[in-house]
Amino acid sequence: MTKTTMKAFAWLTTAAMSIAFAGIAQAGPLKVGAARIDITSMGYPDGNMPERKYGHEWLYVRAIVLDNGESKAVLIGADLGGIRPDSVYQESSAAIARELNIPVANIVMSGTHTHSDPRENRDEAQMYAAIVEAARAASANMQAARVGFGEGKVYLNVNRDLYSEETGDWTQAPNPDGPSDKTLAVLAFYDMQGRPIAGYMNYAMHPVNGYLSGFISGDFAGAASRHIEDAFGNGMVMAFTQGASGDQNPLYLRSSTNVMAAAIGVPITGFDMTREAIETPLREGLVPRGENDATMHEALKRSMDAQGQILGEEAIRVMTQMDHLAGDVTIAGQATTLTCPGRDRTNSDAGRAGTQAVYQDGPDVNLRLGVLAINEIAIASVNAEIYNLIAQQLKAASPLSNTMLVTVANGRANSGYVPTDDAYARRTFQVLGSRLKPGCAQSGIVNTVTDMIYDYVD
Amino acid sequence: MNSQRPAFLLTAFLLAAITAPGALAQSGQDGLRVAATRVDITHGTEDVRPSAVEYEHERLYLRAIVIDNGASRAVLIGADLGGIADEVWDDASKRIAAKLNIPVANIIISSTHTHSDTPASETPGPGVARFGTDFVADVALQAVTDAMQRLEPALMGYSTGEAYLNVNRDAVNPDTHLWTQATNLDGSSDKTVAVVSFVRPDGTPVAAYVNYAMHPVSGYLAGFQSGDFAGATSRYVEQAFGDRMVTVFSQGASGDQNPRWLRTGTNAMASRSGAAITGYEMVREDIEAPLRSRAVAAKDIDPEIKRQLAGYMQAQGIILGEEVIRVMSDTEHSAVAAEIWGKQTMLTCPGRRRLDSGREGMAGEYEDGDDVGIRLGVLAIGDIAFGTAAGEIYSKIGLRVKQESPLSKTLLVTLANGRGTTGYVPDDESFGHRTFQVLGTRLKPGCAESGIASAIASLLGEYLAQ
Repeated sequence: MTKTTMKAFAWLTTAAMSIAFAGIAQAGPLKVGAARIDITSMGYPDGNMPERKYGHEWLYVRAIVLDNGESKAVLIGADLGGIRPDSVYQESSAAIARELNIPVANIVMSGTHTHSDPRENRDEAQMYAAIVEAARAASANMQAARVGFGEGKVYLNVNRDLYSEETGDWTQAPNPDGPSDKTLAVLAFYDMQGRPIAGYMNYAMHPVNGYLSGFISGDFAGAASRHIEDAFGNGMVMAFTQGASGDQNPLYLRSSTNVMAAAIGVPITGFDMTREAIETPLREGLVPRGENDATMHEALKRSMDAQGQILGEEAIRVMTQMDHLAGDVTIAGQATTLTCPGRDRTNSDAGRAGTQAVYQDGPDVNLRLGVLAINEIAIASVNAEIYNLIAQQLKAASPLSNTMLVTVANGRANSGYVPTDDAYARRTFQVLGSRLKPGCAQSGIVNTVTDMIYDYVD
Repeated sequence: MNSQRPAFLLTAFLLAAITAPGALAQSGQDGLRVAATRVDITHGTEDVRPSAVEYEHERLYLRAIVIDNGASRAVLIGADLGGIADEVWDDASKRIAAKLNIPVANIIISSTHTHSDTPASETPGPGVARFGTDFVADVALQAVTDAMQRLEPALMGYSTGEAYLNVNRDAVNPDTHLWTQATNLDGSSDKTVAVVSFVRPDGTPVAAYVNYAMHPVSGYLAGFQSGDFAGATSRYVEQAFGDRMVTVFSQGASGDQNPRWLRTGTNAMASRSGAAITGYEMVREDIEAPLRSRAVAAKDIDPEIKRQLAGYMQAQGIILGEEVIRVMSDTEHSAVAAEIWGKQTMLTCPGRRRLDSGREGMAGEYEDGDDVGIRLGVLAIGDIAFGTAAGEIYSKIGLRVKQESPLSKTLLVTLANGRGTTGYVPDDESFGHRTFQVLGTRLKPGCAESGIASAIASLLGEYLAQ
């Protein structure tokens, strides 16, 4: 299928499956409620929860409910790798929609994408219950509010698609020259005295610090949320959402790599070590995993906390300077499905990255796209891991300057990563593992979401 | 303040070489030998309750790196102190120079400029030095003497990274429309983190010398002792390498550079003065002024607010420390027996005396004052140039020094070799700012910016001409 044909196919499918904005959105006085439900126990089914010191060692589902008298919306953020399997999203969003009498398109439900959540102990029933309970608790706590949007900059993320001069092929490592959006977007809700009720922040960086670390953590994302909540005396809720971080890692992963190294007996130099060389044997189970080194373990937790503090301080700075707050707002949601041609890799055993992949045609890939608009603020969403340039293009094309793209949202597509078209030439594991054929998703996401926002604006 | 720039000032600076060397750069045959040491200078150690020292930056250190090329030596000293007075530097550098038989110009003694080096619960007046001459000089000599016993073969490297923790602090208050000290995201700000590192032949680090421009003011008036982010950075890097190396933090051109985030520091002041804490960033000057002027009595800091500030200092140190380690990891170290050459000079500029008072936001009135001198220097080790200035230099001047230097590997260490007598050293354009730094400077505009850049470039020209 040619690129043009695929594009046309995607558009046709999109048009057929769209749930359009229903009529003209009416403005009304905003009310907001927020709640936070502790789900840390999910990681400790035996009930033996270890002593915890850092905020990111607690996991939460956070909910923000908006109501303008005409319609409602719900923002859910969870300290989880994702809201998955997809059925958890579908069932919990349907339940919330029923309870609040709103369309599912008015719900944005995402995970922070922490890689140190209780992956092996994710209890679907507990996730469902916590999500529904968080929304219920938030909606029981509504108060008059004003909303604002602001942006700051944080220089903690870095592109992670690197051509290694050492190996002569592509790998996952910091690439300071690659695309990387430093924007931290913050949507904030204030009570009529100016105190924060809730915040919804968006930044593109993979929470992989705690990957294979052997302990449960919300990583920097959870740390950032807790830092902000703590700063305001825990009288508000701050949800962290993942931006287009498919190719974005933390710039500093040394302490994380050290934990992996210590666990498999690799000597720690103090310097940055090549992460992939240490991670691979651990990830693939090629070496036995020992106990965590106490010093390295603590250093990693401190590093997560430090990243969270920096991110949190920038969010508070943005919240402090936020102006043009609105008390009368419109709320409108729209959802659609972008369908792109799929592919299946036939030689996965040939290697994760830096190898020649072979594919055959596979089932179509369905990407769930959405826009939740609050006045002149657009919360775009996609249920996959998106490359950074796609969000940059979307924000540039959006008719609303206050646009953020929430990824890993509203379930999980059967896509794998969503690279930009030019990135398909890179033999990184994200690209090799993607079920998307090139030429469809990048323009499809940008054009579809932009059209939805235009639809709302019009 | 007279905003006119008298033409004569542009050429009025006088350069007068002082303290020796003019000597030829010297290098031996066998490569470098390097050693480093760290001495605890925490105030009143015996009085500090262990429970009160939770964070590494709550201990203060003086650190020394000695570099020996077989023919000569250089010494890099950094202290977790607010500043080191001229007479203290004079005493310390002469004693060290005599001990090592090297020119004073081969020694850089600087402070991190932490604003929280005072004993816990004390609120000293502005500019009050904590330590006397004997203390710092004795410790510095002790540190160098100790290092000299442990010189070992080492390779040297230089590289740079970036840290987005600092921000320009000359700002116009949007409410009052007056100049004040606050975050100015559009102002000049150099994000460069320069690292000179020394490693053993097996690659393990001996020492690192870090240069970054950001005022350590988070702990100002906070009521507890701390080396701030600078001390936290040093300790973080040192501990990352198992405490088997020493990391000296030196201050870059930070006269107009603050941390981008000072919320927790402002909260600490509010906690001590009784001002209500909102959680948001509060207007720091409004909270700081009554405490600084002692218009209100300072209470003990709320332990939770202290924890938040100390944790934030540590977080900054971790981020900056990680960037330092990242830079070190990518640095190519050379085994070449680098030449060592140092020379200092005094830049003399026309001075002014302020006739009115008021901290900021007004036009100062001045009359001609005595000329003021800024002690400048260059310590060159191979192709790496350590420019020095005894003062608090504005960011644009630091950038210009690096731009005009004939060596691409140039860093500017400020608050080095004494504090100077000028007050802040603004760049020419910034003399239009009615900030306290500009209003308080004893320098007339039009001299220091070009003078500093030219003088350091000229010294390096001398070095390269040999």
